[in-house]
Amino acid sequence: MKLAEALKIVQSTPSSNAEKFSVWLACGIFPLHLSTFLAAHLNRRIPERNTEIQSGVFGDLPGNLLQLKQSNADAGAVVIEWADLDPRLGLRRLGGWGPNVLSDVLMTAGQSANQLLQLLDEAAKSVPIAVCLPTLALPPISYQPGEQFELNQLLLEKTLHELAASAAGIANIKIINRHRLDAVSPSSGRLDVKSELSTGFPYTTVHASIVGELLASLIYPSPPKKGLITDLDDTLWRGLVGEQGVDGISWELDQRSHIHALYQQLLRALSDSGVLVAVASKNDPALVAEALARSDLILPRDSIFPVEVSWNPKSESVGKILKAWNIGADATVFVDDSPLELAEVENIYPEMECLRFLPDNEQATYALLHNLRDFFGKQEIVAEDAIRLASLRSSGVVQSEAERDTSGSFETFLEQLNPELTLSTISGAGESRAFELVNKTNQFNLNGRRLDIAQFRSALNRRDTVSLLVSYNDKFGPLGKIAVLLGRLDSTVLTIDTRVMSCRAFSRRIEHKCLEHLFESLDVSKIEMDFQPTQRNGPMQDFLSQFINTDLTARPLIIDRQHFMNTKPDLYHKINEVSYV
Amino acid sequence: MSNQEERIRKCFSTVFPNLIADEIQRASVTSIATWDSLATVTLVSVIEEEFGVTIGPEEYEYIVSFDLVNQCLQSKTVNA
Repeated sequence: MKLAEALKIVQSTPSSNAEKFSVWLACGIFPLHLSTFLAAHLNRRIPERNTEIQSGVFGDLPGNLLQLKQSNADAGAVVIEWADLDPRLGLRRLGGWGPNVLSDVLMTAGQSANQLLQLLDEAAKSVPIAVCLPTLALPPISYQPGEQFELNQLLLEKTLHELAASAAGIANIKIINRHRLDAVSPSSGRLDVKSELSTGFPYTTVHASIVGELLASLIYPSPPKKGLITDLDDTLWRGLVGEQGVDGISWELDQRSHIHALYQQLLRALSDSGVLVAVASKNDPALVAEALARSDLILPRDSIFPVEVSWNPKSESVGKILKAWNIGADATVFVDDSPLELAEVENIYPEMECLRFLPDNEQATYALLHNLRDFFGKQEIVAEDAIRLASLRSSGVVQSEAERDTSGSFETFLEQLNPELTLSTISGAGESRAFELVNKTNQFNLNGRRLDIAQFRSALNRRDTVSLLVSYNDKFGPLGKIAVLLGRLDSTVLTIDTRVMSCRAFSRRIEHKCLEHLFESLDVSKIEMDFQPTQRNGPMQDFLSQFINTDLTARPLIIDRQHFMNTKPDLYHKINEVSYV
Repeated sequence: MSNQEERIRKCFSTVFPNLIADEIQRASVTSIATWDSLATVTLVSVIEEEFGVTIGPEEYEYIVSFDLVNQCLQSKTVNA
């Protein structure tokens, strides 16, 4: 991004009525264009918010970190440069670069690193922080030739890595990956000596834009994709199974098809971290079944669900997979070697990320693997990730029972599921899962409103808050934590601001049971829903329509207890534990 | 208006978005209240980006009005 473009973006921020998103930029450098670029990149990510960047005084990173801690910012951005560890490592101070000062520089840098770590630890208790470690090369402090990595330089690097490793272990702190930075901002193009000497801002505008972009991506990350649909021939493996047979396809070094093995290895890793993996292939189903049964396949057959193989258009297979997963096209990546197939799918599903696998270009394919990691990158792997696939398979059973019910057999089926709910407040280990659900659920979502971490915690900490995290289990196994509710209790009325439920949990009447339980346990006469229709929340609209006497445009939208109790279907759930009031 | 002047006008418009076209051509440090040292540094960076030139600290004396910026850039073009 060019500076002129960044300035235009910043100047075109939404009206003052838009909700503010404030970031405290703590650094020892003069933030100048970095502040502009950070605001612009954040604005691109959250155009509906009014991004505001605050920063402290020049040359006082510790003081600015203290201010960050005391600020009410939604997020912090911390940019550390070598001069923050010891001013002699910058260009604006003249404390000497001779051999006699190196050990003292090292000692000071170590002390500064410890101090910064403590301050980061303290600040991260109140605000999420993105950290950028020194990006500039060290000045010519070493008496040895520049080609040689000198001991004191290595010890300085060690000090920095220890700081980084300790900081990365602190909850609420994310650190920019130096390898990613190196890939997009060559080190020789980062320092602007003229700017550093004349203003105290040491970055070229190109580098400042990249640092701002990476900080913005850590502060406000894109939601991870949920599912990957892959082609088979010349994608999952080298060769055409229909032409070369099951033994003719390969993914091995000596067959020059190892890049397919790496692709399989990545898909396996993604699957192990909860990503859904499916196959869409134009092929003979019997041959594909045989090929997928090969014991040397790196991606286990059980990790793939569903496998759609036919001679119909790929978009038809993709449609069936999306239905089985019950997720939107915008949460999905499709990988195929054929540009024609990619175009056909993209035409039907323009929101889907369609990526080409180039079997004869290992370099590009390796870049694709990195790209896929980015699409599915997440902060942590939770218990639900491990059971997602199994619960989707069982959801398929429940959904099809519901769809083919003609004579009340679905009631018997539901009862025989032995459904159990576990209810708890949102706290501790459940907090990150609840936050994830609020920000990735589309269909059973009360209003489509996303919350950043500061808004989420603020909602949890209100005095009158009622929060609920719902886990589900039945004879097919656990679904894990699948629903979240956030509301405010005012004597006889509960107002619900946030209500989401994973699509894996549909058709089990969990939403009905939760509402019944809230009415009874909180002894409220009505529940007010902060409902907003969205393009995706049809299931929520269907649910609400069953229990309100008005249409969905009424405000406030109220569910009356008596009406709900008279209208609700039979509920068979056992509630195991209640610890939310 | 020459092509160079039009590009300078674009730079001024980026840094001082509230100025109308006429005001930009008459713009100077004394006529624009928001033209402070930070605005000068930003204007220099935007001009450097637009024209692919480097403006040294010794040339900052020219970054005080539209006309002088124009002259400064003309001399760079002639000397290039």
